[in-house]
Amino acid sequence: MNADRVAGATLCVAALGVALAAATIEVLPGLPTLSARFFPWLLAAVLGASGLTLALRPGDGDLRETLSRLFAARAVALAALLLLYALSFRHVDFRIGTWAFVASSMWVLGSRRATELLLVPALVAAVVYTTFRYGFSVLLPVWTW
Amino acid sequence: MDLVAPATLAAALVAVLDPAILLWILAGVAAGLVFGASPGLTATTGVALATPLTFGTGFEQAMALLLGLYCAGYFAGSVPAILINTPGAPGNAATALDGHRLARAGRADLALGLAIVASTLGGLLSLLVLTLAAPGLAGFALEFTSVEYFSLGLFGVVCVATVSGRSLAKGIAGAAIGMLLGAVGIDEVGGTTRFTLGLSELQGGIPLIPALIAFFAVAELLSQAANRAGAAALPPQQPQSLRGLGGHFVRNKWLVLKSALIGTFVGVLPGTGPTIAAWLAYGQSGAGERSAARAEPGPAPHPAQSPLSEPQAVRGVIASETANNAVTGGALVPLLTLGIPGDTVTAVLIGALLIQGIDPGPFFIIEHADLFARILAILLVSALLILVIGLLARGYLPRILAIPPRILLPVVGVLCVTGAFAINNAPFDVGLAAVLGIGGYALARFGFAMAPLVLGVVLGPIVEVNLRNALAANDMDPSVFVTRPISAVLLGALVLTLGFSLLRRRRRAADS
Repeated sequence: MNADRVAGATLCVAALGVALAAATIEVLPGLPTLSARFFPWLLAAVLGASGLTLALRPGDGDLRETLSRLFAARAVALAALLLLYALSFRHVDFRIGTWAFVASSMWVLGSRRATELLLVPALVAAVVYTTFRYGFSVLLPVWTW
Repeated sequence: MDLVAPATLAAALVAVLDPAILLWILAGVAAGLVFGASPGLTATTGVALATPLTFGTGFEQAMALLLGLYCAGYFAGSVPAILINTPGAPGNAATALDGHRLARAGRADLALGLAIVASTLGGLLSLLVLTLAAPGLAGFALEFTSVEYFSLGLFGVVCVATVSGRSLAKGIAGAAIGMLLGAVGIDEVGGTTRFTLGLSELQGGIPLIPALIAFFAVAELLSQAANRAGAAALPPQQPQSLRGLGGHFVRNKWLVLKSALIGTFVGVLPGTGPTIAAWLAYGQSGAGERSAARAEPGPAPHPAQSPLSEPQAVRGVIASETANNAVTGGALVPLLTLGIPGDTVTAVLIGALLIQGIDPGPFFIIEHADLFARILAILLVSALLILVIGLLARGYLPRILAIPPRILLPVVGVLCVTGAFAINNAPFDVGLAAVLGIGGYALARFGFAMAPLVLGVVLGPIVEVNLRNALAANDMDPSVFVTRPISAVLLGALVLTLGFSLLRRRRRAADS
């Protein structure tokens, strides 16, 4: 199947969703100009037209190939780690969370030497924490001890 | 409006030559060299990541860091383009064609030297244009009403949508997605809430810097993790004397001037960038005739089998690198005079200026002539630093490529997350950047360029608010957009741009 056809169909569905969501935006009576719904509707129409064009006149991308690139194991693993790191950011001590993220990401990206996996993340966490905390006065989340 | 007074320029130069400011510029140039030379990490990524760092700094320090990074990043993409045929950024793709051919012929030192000097000349010539043209344009911009701002914003979005990537539909869809993201939050005109999904954190809209980090840094980071780039070994290399290097520029002085003008002009057009500038200049240099079929942004192919013509290859590298860096000064013209970014980096720089409490627009140069002069001085020093550092270090530049991705990518990930947090001390922004970045990565895998999306986020609110204000001020009469001359010219240019883009794509489709 063609990747552009799928992307185009997805855009059409997204455009429909945007149009429906825009219809729920409150409209103030007596506003002397276009309502707050107009621009989202216009963009939904543009999105839908682009999607339709892609679906009807697709390029030569193969869906299976595109999906295999999208779901490349290393990228998916790194995305999951990044999401975990970001969502746990406020709850975990920055130095520990950063060490854990860098170490696990390095492992995912092919690092296997124990010293490298221990030292580089510790150095990165220390340098970034010191730079932001003391260089730029940013209060990063820390556990007090 | 008059030019900036020479005394103001001199005072700015003295201020910028302060050792502390020079160190900030040096740090920016060094960071720019690393970001530009690392394939996949661009100057835009670097500036997006560095912007939150400027939160606690003064104006000079912030601009020194970011503009140094901007200029060096645009140049440094030529290093991997020349050495491993992998452009550090799309704007260096044209350089890869002839630069890598020279490297494979044992002339990498010549190609790197050409790129360094050409980048400096491009930066300096565009700086001259910025110095001379921006004050006048700022005075002209005072005549702009919401009608002209709407047309200019729309023109910018359409420009970038038509030149980004191979598919016009994807470019336009990307811009529409970006503009929809820009519509999230409380409507500036009516005060109603839109698309916030019930999250109070989104009432102020999608925060700009986390969004830029998401689409430029996180999406790139994941793309790099998915791709494994390998470097091909080069033959033994001949050193290049500085005198010989100078001779090439004397012989090609008109090419340098022409390419700088192309780069500056393309930079001035809102929403464009170095990619189109480099390819246009490369095309007119005559170097690309044998590569006409490849006159398309994107990774360069393996060097052609045809024998190398050194003068032709030299012209190719000079043209593309001069134009590539000439974009820097040009792109700052619309940013500092109209508040409209000229390229993706200047879109990020809007955030940096806002951090400093400065609203870029027609009043910036009038009210802050001293700050404008300092920007000019920083650009001048940055261009000269790139020349000095580049020429001294060109033997060592290839070592930047030696930072293994298994270390570089996690470090960039940490900077993405920390940078997204630091701007507002808001953990919500961190999660938002990660989610948007993963979405951006998925779009990129399906062939959607990030530039229209980001320009959509930046320009969407400008377009919408000015459209509604213009109609309100003119009794809902839409003809005002074509009866006011500047707006009519901009909309005419928009239609022509779309028409040419469609025609070019149809012709290419017919050829293939």
